[in-house]
Parts: sequence; structure tokens; C-alpha cells
Amino acid sequence: MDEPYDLVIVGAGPAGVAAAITAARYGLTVGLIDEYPEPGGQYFRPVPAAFRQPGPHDDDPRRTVLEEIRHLDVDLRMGTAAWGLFPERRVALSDGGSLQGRAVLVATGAYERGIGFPGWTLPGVMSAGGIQLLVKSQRVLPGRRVLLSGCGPFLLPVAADLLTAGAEVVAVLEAVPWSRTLRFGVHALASADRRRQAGHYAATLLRHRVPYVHGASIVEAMGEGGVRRARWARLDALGYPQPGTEREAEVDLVGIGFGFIPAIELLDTADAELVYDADRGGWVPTLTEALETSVPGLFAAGETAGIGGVDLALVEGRIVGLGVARRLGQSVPEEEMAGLLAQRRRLLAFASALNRTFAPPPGLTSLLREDVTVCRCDESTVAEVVRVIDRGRHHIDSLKCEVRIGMGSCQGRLCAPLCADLIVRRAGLSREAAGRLHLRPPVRPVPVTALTNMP
Amino acid sequence: MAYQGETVGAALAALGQRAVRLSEKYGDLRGLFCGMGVCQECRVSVDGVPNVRACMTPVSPGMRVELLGVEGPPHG
Repeated sequence: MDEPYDLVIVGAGPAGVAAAITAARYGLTVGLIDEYPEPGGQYFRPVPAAFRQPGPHDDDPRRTVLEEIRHLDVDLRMGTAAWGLFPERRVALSDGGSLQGRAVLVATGAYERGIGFPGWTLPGVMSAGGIQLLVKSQRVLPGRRVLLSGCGPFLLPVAADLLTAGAEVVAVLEAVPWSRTLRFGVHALASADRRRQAGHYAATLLRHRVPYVHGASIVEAMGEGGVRRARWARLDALGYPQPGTEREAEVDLVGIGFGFIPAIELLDTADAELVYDADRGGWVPTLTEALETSVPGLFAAGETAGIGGVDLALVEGRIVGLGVARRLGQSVPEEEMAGLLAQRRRLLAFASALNRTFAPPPGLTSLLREDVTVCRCDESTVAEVVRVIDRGRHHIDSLKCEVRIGMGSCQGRLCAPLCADLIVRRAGLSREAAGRLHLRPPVRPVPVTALTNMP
Repeated sequence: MAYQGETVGAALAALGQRAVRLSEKYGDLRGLFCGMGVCQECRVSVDGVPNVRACMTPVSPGMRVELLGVEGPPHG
């Protein structure tokens, strides 16, 4: 076996890159793995060099970490998926190899929380983040007339990007009512940076006369062969659509974004302890102050540790880099670590307030009508899942025995949260009691040849 | 027609191709959904290799992309 790295990092987004830089500066040997061809993660996803065009966040000072990492001695394994985490902290790779670390950091980020509604599987209904990646990083407009619906401030940059690229945005629907967002808004806008950003989005929406409607949501997408019309409605205080308030418009693209879910799969395969914390985006690892999970030597940072945004991810990456360096005998200035921990506490408080404010209202699950597809892979409907729940299967893992949720190619990443919502609705349980799917490796799609060298 | 550095998914979107495959059980049209490699909805056949995620795959010269069971773009 090869000599293990001091630190193996899965995920080259802001948290992973910050951890790699910090550790490498202290002379640690570092391996950094990511499925994409370039470091940066979704947040810093670059425009292809051949486009010779300015990329998103080019002027963002935080982006310098991507330059820095190229000048440090870090083993970059880009275009490589990590599909399992095995004993002795060995990370299995899609190229058939593996990397072992004295410490392993899982910084695999997050993915978007969807909601199910009639028509949500039609071509032209996309996640808001997927639309943003096409528009910003690939310079492609996937539609001309767009409806955006979801929870939280992330919809605003997506709308602004679409408008700037020349699309028409029919409306931006925020499911959370003004009464809830207002207090958070006052708190959030105490920061000059955020004021500038919000001002820019507001001006862009106003200039294009785009309605920004609070307490409303898409209720149906319609069309043959792809979405052609979308219907939305006002929501009551609990998030149930109010009869008689429906509006309809012709669209060729619908973007939905109801928040983000931490990507904890690798931690789960290593049996790290996970808890349900709605303020942090769902199931998250229990962590020490040094961001170590319940499995010794296994760390989590960034969105994987709980939804918190790019600044928190950068700080957490540095904390892990410093902590691992210190553990391996490097002398780390106490004040540097203390400063980062203080920053983390402040950013965590903000992130929790944001996640709490923009939690999807419970009534939205009423859009899961009987004939709606819950599992996009295996095509189980709400009626089929509910029948099994009503027979007493009140845990996601036990639903799987009968309706195959989580056994399709997305491995339950999309349907499991919806099924948990259905269990909550039918059985009156908490989200925590409804449980989560326990994933087994491979947690990423890999060719069978990758498994033949299994560690 | 596609540009160097583009993904297959972006090239299809640029051609106005929203549907990229049929669902396995009921044969419904499906297109790009998450755009970041998670949902597996955009699987196409690339140079004869099935189940390749269009959103994660960069285009290359001479690449042959097949949308199984779906009508392709008029000038693709």
C-alpha cells in the first residue's frame, strides 16, 4: 500500500479548497478529489477557458483561493468521483484506485431541495441551480419565458442572471410570506455587502418589471413533450394553496429551488453519527469544535456540515486544515484558530436564522397529488407510496422494501425527502422519526471496472 | 454544433432540445433537471456508451451523442 496522505479531501468547492491550501501551507501532504475537471465547486464554477469570456465571480476576492491552490503542492485528482469511504480512511475512486488519509475531509457540498407537483417531471422544469449553471458557467439559455418558484434569496441571483442573459422572467415566487421574511431582511441588510447585493437584484427585477410575489408557489406545470404553461397560487399561512387565487402563464422553462440539502452520503457509508437539524438543512453530522465527526479522523466542512453559504464554507475549510496540521504536530498559532472559530459562530448564527426563515412551509406537500410521480427514477406515484405508508411502513428505509424508492440511479437523493414529507403527512410523525435512506457504496455512478479493485 | 468547453447538456439546451430521453417504465419524456450530476435525468448515449450524464460530460470533436427514443434537434 502507498504511504497515506496527511489529509485526503473529497470535494474541491470552497470548503475543500480552503482546507487543502491551509494544510499544504503547513507542509502536510494533501490529496484533493472532485468529479468536475476544475476545482471551484458549484459556487466558483468557471466559464470554460475556450470561451474567452469573463466568468461568474471573476471579481470576487474570495476566488483567489483557486489561483493559490495551483501554486501549492496538492495532488489534484479532478474528473474523479469518490464513491465510497472504507475502513482506515480509504477513499475509493472512480478510476479504480483509492486514496488513504491520516485524516479525511468530506466537503461534498449540497444539492437542491425540490418539491413534487403535477408536471414536475416535464422537460423544461429544472432546478434553479441547474438553470444558473447553464446561464452563468455555460452561457446558454435553456428557455426564453421563465417562472421561478421556491424559498429563499437564492432565487434572486438566478432571476438576475436570466434577465441579464435576455430571458423574460414571468414572476419570481417566494413561498414564504412577507411577514416572516421582513424581520430577517432587516437583520440581513445590516451588512453593507448584502445591502449592495440586494439592491442590485431589486434594481434588476424592477427594471424588467418582474413581479416578486411572496406567499406564492407554482402548483402545476403543463405541456406535451415539455412545459408550455405553468399555474401558480397564493399560499395560506401554512403554505396550502388558496383556492381562487390561481394565475397561469405561457412559459418554456420553470425553475424550482426550495433550499438546499447537505450531501452527507460518504459520511453515512462510514457510519458517522447524523442528526436531523432543520436549521442546518436536514440530516447533518454531529461535529466537534474541530469539525471532526463521530468517526475519528473523519471531518466535515462546508455545506456537507450544514447549509451556510460560501463564507462559512471557507472558514470551516481553514479550521479543518489548521486542526489536522496541529494534530500532526505542526505549531499552529492559537489566535489564528480562535479567530476562525469566532467567525464560524457568527456565520452559523446568520445561516441558522436564514434557514429557519426560508424553510419550505408544510402545506406545500399538498401539491403531491395522488397521480404525481414521487420517484423520478422508478416512477412510483404518490398513491403507491401512500398505500405502503398507510399499511404501517413509517420509516423511509422500510418504504424501500416495497416501492423501490432510493434504488434507482439518483439513489433517493430526490425522492427520499418527498417520501419523508409523505410519512410526516400521513402518519403524523416528525421528519426525524421518518428517518433517512441509508446509502451504501457506490454513492456515485461508476463503471463496474471501478469496483473490481475495491479496497 | 458545440463549443469547446461546453457540456453535452449545455449544447443540447443551446439547440433548444429540452427532452433528452424516455423514462424507463412509462416512456415519458425527460430533460435536464438538476444540471449538476445528482438527479441522473439527463442520461444520453455518447459514442455508443449508454447512461452518460449530459450535464457532466464535456463535448469533444467528432463526439456522437444519441438521444434514445427521442426526436433530436432539427439541425443537430
